[in-house]
Amino acid sequence: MTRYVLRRLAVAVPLVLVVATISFFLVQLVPGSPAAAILGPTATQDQVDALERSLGLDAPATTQFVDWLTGAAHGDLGRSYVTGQPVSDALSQALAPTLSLAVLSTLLTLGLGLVMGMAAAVRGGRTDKAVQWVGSLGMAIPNFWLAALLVFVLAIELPLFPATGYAELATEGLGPWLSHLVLPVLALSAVNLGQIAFQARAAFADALGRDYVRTLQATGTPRRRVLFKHVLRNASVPVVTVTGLTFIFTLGGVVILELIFNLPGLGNLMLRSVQTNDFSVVQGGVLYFSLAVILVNLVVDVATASLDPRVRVR
Amino acid sequence: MTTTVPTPVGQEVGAATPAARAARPVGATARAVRQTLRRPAVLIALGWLVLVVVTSLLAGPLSPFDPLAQDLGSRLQGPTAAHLLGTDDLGRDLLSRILHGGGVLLLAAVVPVLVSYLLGVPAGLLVGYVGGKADAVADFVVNVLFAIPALVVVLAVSVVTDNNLPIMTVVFGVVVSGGIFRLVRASTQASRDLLYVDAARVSGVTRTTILARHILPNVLGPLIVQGFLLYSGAFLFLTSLSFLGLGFDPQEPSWGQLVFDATAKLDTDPWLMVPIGVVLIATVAALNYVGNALLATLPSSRRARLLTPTRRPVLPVADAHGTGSTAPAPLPAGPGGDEPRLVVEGLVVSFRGEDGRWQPVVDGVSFAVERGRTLCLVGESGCGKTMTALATLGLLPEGGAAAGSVRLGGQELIGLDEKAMARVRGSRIALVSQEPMVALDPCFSVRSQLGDVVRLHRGGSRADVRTRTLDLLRLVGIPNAERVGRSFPHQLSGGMAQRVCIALALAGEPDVLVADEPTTALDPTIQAEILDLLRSLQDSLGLALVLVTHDLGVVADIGDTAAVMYAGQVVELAPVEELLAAPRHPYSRGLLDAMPEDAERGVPLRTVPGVVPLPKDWPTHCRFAARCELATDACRTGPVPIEVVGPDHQSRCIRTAETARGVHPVATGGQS
Repeated sequence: MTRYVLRRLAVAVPLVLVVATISFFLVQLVPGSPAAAILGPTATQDQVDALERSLGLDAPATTQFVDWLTGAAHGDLGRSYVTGQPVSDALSQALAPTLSLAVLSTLLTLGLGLVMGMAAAVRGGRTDKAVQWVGSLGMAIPNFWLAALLVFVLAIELPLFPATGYAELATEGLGPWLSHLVLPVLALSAVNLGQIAFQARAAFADALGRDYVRTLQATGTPRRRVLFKHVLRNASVPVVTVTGLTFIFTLGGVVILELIFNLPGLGNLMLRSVQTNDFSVVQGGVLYFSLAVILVNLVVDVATASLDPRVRVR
Repeated sequence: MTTTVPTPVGQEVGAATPAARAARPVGATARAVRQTLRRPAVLIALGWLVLVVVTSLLAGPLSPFDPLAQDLGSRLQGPTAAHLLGTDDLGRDLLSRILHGGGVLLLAAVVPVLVSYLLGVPAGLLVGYVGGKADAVADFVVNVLFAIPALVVVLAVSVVTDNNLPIMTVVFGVVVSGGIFRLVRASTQASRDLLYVDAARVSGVTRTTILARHILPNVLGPLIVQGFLLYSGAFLFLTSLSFLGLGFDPQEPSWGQLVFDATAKLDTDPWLMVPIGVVLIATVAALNYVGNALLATLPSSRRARLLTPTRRPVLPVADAHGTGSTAPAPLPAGPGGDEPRLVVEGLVVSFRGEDGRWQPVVDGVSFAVERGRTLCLVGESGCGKTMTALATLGLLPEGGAAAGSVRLGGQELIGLDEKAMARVRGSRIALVSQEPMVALDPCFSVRSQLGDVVRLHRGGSRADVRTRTLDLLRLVGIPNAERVGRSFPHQLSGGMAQRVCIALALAGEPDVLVADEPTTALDPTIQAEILDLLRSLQDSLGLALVLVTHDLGVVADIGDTAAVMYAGQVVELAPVEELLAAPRHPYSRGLLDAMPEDAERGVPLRTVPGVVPLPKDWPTHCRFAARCELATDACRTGPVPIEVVGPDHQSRCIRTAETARGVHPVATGGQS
């Protein structure tokens, strides 16, 4: 197991490097100078040159890259071109709402998706049909439209939850934190819930047809224990894997929902920086998001390996 | 999404026959697709998609108003005669804006699909075919793609390219191409080693031709379906961009932007949300629905559920006697008049077909096993041996039901509910199944699985359970019990796994052990070891053993009584020595003649020509007549009852008297 984790880490490190390189050079593709883009069309060449010098953009790209990478390794991603704030500070401050949203939504979809998929596969018939309908509907509703609907029903008509904003868990406590996240998490989860429920349904259908189910029942092991101990464990493996894959889309949804619910997270920061041509923040943001994906996939790898011993030898 | 693919009745349901999965008649997929496209729900979904495309194409002529024309006098009206869907906060007609707002989105969503196909298909084919280093490199690239959150990257691209939609869609296509690549690579790897591909390779066909002519067609079905779902995802993604105000001209209406405008007026004018919401949801739902319906037409390997239902199906009275063609055979009386340990009488196993009718696969089977004795169920595949064995434990796969009588130590098991049956299983009757390598749960160690069963039956402290677990492993002849106990099933050899399975079956100290082809999946040397083990366990524990086999060598080795099965019926029931020396049914004789052990050098091995008929093709007369060299017209007139032909010897043949006279009629027949 330890060796397996080390092996996965060994794959993750070069992955981080490549992703960092991509996020750096993405911004290098800007036609013309970032300084010109920041200053706008009215700026004179002298002003542009001056800004370039002060931002260090006049150095060759490779030098800039090495500098940036060295800085990044020490947690320094440069300064925002617009506000002058260190990029890593700006990103770190925005981390909590984004992580809260993404993690809560992932846990919700995984838990509920497993239950729905299991019910559909085991009970079949009407339960199966109902799960397929709910899942299909969830997958068809754009999250931004669902968000508006939820706000209208559960914040405006029935003022149960705040329509926008965020409350710090550390300073304002669990209740306010959670109540600010209920609507965005629900809106974010609908699409993935359908995906996971369908995957879980297929995984349970597969596990229920395996010979060990018969072996265990033949030993007198009660049906419920076969189901909740053995079938559940086997079926969770592919479902957890898929949860890792859908995390990319969860992050995409986070950006949109942070905008709608006015959450001070990474997504909103990215959108603002995109609008103001704040390239250094965009650069750092791409890196942060990618790191989150790599980290989640690492967690998923470890989780599947601890569920299924066959994964460990791969 | 998968849907229920009915398993053919009478096949070894749930036994995961590879042949059933691989073989798919030519044209079956095309037929499935045609049927799918005729379903009303699919037609409605397709109709909606056509409507959306056509109205978007004809948005100009169809729109009652200019989508950009502001009319501040009629702001935020609900639906009216002039404005069928109402107006927005600048008085613009919503219907016209919706008609104009979909075209670019629908068109732009094609780009990512094309890009990911152009990248993913050739790369997947090549890497899947070549494998090796290329595979490792490609894996890394795909991992990078999977680590990039698409929306965030496209956001960055939008800054860099000053909101250039074509470039943004291409980048999105690149990011999602990893999925297509993996799909194509997996299918290519699967078809790479197919025989006809090998044949093409050997005959010198170039790699490109092999990939294009022989492998690509196999991948095409899943690809088309995946394309549909990918398009739906791309469409939703682009709508999100348009919602964020990215990539689309803010002057022109687009669907995401319409939602954005509506959210701004949510508290005062919620109606604005409704029309655009309906259009968006219906379009994505229709895309997903058609995609999933097509996905369901692809050949899949859905297995029948093996978990017993809480309420087992009961055969209707009318079906409880199977075909009811003959009366159940009288059972040989046990010694001293006591009932034998296990008695099966008039057992019928039926599966419910697609049309709701019950199709028998086991048709009135009767036999009995004494303590310390072995009864072998013999016959070719598809004769109902396994279903007979499973029915005694109440472990029929999904869709099966049993009737008749199964008595264990005098207790009737047919009709017991699942809870009562679970108490019988393991403690009084147990099972050893065919494929030991898949019979154990791969996620738990041997120690854990065996320990659970020991605890279930005996309870006791952890130390007791542990001791008993190790004892059981030693009992089944595992020398290094400690180490094997710590192992996981995938670390065991077939023979070792089968020993563990036998230990599992014995954990509850049953009286009767049902072994379904326990040695078939094993190497010949291991087979003998496992048979020896079963025999010695039977001697020491006094087990009544029911052994399913197609191998008369095994019968000769271990059996006391043999029940030869053909097409769901017992055709001959006899003491093993008698059966081997003087079989009274032509099928039994055919099986004996086909034993390779007795083959003479230089003389072709005799076989029984033809195959076992499927249950739906069972004739009403003698079921073996079509393959029988002795068959006469009399054999084809009506059901053949089983007759007592000697003490403990029964045969289901009207010419059984002739076979008894020592005539070897088969020899005069000649091979057909």
